[in-house]
Amino acid sequence: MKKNHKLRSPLLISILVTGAVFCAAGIAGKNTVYAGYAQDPVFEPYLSLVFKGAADEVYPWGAKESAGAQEAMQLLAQQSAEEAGSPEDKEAAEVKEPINNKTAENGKTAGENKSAEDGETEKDDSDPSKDEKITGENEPAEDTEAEEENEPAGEKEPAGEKETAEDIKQAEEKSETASQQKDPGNDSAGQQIPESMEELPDSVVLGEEEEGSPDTVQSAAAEADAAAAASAQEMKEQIIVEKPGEKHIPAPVVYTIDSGGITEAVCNPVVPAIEYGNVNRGYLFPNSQIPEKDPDPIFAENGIYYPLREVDDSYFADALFIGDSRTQGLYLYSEMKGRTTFIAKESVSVFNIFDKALPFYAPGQGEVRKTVLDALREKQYRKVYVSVGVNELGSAAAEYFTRFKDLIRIVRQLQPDAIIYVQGIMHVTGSYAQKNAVYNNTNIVERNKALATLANGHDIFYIDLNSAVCDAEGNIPAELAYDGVHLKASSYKLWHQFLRENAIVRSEADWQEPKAEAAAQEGAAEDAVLENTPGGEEAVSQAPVAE
Amino acid sequence: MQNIVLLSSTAFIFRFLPVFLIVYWIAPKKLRNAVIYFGSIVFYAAGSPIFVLLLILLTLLNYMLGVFSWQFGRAKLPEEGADPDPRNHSEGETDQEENGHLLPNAGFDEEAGQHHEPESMLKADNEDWLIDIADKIELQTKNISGETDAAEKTAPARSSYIEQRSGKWQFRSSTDPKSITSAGRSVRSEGPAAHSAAPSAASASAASAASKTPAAPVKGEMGFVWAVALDIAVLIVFKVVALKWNAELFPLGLSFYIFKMISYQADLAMGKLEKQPSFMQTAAYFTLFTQVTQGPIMRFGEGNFAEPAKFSLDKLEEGLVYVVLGLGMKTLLADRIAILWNEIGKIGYESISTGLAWLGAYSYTFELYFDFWGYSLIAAGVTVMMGFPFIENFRHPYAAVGIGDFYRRWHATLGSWFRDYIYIPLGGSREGKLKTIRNLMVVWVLTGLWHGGTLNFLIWGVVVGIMIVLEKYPLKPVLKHVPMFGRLETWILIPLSWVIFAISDLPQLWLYFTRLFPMLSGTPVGQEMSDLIRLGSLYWPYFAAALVLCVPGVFKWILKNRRHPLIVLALTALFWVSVYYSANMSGNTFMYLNF
Repeated sequence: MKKNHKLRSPLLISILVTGAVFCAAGIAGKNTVYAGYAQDPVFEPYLSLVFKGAADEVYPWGAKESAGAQEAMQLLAQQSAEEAGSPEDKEAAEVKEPINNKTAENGKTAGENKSAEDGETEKDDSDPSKDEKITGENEPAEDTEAEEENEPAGEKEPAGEKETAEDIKQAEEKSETASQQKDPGNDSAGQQIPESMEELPDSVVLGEEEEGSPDTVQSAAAEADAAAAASAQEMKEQIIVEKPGEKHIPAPVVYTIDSGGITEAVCNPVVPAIEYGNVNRGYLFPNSQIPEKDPDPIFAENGIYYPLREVDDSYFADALFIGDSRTQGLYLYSEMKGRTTFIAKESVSVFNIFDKALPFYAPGQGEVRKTVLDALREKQYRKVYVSVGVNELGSAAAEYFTRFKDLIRIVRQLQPDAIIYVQGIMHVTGSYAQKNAVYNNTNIVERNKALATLANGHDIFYIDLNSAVCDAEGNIPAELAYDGVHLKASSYKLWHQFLRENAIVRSEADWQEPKAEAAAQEGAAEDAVLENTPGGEEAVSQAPVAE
Repeated sequence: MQNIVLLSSTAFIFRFLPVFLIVYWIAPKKLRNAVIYFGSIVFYAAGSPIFVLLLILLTLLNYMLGVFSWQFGRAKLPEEGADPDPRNHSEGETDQEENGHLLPNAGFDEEAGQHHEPESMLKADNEDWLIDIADKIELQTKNISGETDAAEKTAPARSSYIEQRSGKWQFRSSTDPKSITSAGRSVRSEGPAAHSAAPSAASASAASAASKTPAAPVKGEMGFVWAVALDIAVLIVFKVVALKWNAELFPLGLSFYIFKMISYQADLAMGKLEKQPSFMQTAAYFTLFTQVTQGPIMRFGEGNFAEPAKFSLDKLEEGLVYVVLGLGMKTLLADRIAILWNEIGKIGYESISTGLAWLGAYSYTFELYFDFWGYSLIAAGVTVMMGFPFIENFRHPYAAVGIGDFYRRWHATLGSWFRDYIYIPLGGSREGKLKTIRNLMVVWVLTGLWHGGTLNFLIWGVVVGIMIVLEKYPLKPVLKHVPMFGRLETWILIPLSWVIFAISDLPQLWLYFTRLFPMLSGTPVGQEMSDLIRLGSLYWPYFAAALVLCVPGVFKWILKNRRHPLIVLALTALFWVSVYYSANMSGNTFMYLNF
């Protein structure tokens, strides 16, 4: 009887058996490897966990770790550790140090609070970062909690507040231990995190977004006697010293923070790029929590801007565009093709941007595949345009923002001299937005407001394409985008035009001086790096004029 | 939750379907139809919680009015004497038989004669294959075949059935050469059918038919007219609402289930049904979940509502094979190729090269085909698992020689619906050339409008209608003697007609045609083809697979060898790969929601 049945329905049996195996795998892993996948057993079989996981390279026997993402986490952890190690200055310490400490703590999964042991050595910092990676892949939400704490005070996560006192204490301990670790030179760090240290030129490793708080850097530089570290820091200092804006910088446009007015303006779907660049602190510090001074150095000294001006296409010769399918469209269908460098692919998001090799197109070369980290390391660009965000609309805004900030940190670290352009997320068409609870302009505007806060007006700028493509209601006109999300090939010229009209021009001296110093102090080893940096600023040196 | 209504979703395959099948097979026979009905209501409500009320309401009304249609049909029967053998004569058979008879004369199928040669050639290499008939039908067939021997055999397999009989697979070509021989015999039964079907055509023709009928009003006639008028009115009202206001106000699957309701009324009124269907039978037929959203448009008599099937592991296995194949086509071919078509839209028609425009035309062609064929296979497979006969909606249309032939193979349940309930009642091809042309055009305009209210569908219907008329008259000899001509039509004109079908915005449509034919816009040819190379190099494997599947023999070979261990293994793999895509789409109809 049984045998007979077997013969009669081989496919049914085969599917039932394999299905049972998949189901078992799904059920076995539902609280471990698949913990991050939302699943409603009433409508979704457990076996679909296996398939959803497989799409993200998460298998029943564990997640495949992406070397790239791991490295990125290491970079961040390392950076944070250094931040924590250097500051001795008293003013900012109270606010700043806990934050740095928290940043270093990123490595921890939110669940386990190991902050006591944390920060003792750099090794500790880098190791948990692996953990964090593994779980982070599965459970982005946890990740957020940890990373959100980068931000001053518990604006978004009230839960964060209770840790503050403890943090400050630990931060102090930590800063001591960390700087001890560092003082002997970079050796220890080099041993701990060999790949990243060896692959990176020293200046790059140490280059941070410290610009925002010159004091910190100065003091750090004074303390550190190891040659490499010092020179790099001083190089930073150079930039920073100039920052308040005098000799080389074209007269900065100063905006004052007027939170009421600006919030209004930013909520309006279409805001001129330059207005958008104003820090909308209302977003980051809801209600009455707006601090006097933005403590996190990646945020702007508010209100100081270079004016955006028009440039010609040669401006983009030493630029790198990082992005998702929209940036890929810019590569494929605009005249930017062949004039600048792209690394872009559809479905790229802040969550996966470091995971895999992406198509990389440089002028004169064919398409090759590179990870974003490699692309950032191999060559120094003078401008880096970052445009990701539409794929992330489904995830929490705060999480997106934190990850985006990490991305910018890494770009800053690997491209210390580049102007970083944070490109606002392009809106979608009205009809698309209307029928979509996730991919709509309300959400996009919300996120753009957050992105705009990343601009510091010095070397990180926010530009918003929407001013060039949207209609009066802030929608992309239907005739510009067939699918509601992507510009048509013929519409990419609007973006191209927008980029030409909204560029930051730094004078040649801005570029030259830090490099000259660095070169002088660092000697031969550094030369290789310098040679990597783009040769000319020829086209752009139409010296900026004050507006 | 919503995607339960999507037959390729994991929620349907792993949740709804197994639960339903278990309940269905455990339930006593008497309750089978109730299980279908309530299961289908749950299914439909999951997709459209509001319009399920409309479905229930229409089911009720149609059943009640159907009582009159039944009386109407009964009242006419004796005098028309249509049924040679009422006893063993299930509707499906009647239907098929009549269709078979009608085919050669029907104009629709007149081409069958012309295609006789290529078809039989086709048949030759397929002789060993099977399209066979479920046992029950086989039995009934035998009863009929006593008198309509040849005719019955040719019964244009609206449905081809696979079933293993004595370990041998057989194939019966749907357009068997014998069908021509049956032409003569068909006349007899055509008369009544044409007559009695007249009222169902459209409300207008229903009225006119009513006036044509003998002066003495037949009992139940008004009920029938009202039923059809109601169904048509509901369909039209919602079409207009969807067009004028919001496409989301169009009830899920309305076009399909309304057509089933009309065919139900017409079949009753034509006296095609042996026994008056009970409410549960009727309700199960109207709401049958596999068909309620996207067809196929089964006839009442084709299902075994009146006589529930016995549980059969063979049937379960056979249905599963269809489901797996359909799932594979939908998720691995149609959904992938759809991305290319979407990509072309994203680029914008003004920016594509001529080469890419042609690739696009074929991408839409394949997307539509494998989406719809795959979906129909899943639907049919599930019904087979429930012990129903296989409803064949696609008979390898791209093996067709000519457009007429194509549309006999493409969405066959819709084509035969229009033939039986519009074309033939209008007079078919029996009333002279002009009327035939008129009838054909009416059918094709209605077919176009059925697909959608925008102008491009009208244009599409008219264009296809014209092509069929041309094939029927001026080009007839060419088609007959140069089979290659028909094949070229299938592979060039059909994809072009799908472009019309695909692009609803007329300026955009024209733009697309200027890309296909650069001379239309006066721009020189010689556009750069880099986009063709780029996208072509990404998508060629899908096109290769699609082309292979367009060869009828491939599909049949798989069916034939479905018990071979390697094929079982391959089908299992196909199933899980499809599930992989399906699971990851969850909610997104298209995977290209990754930007």
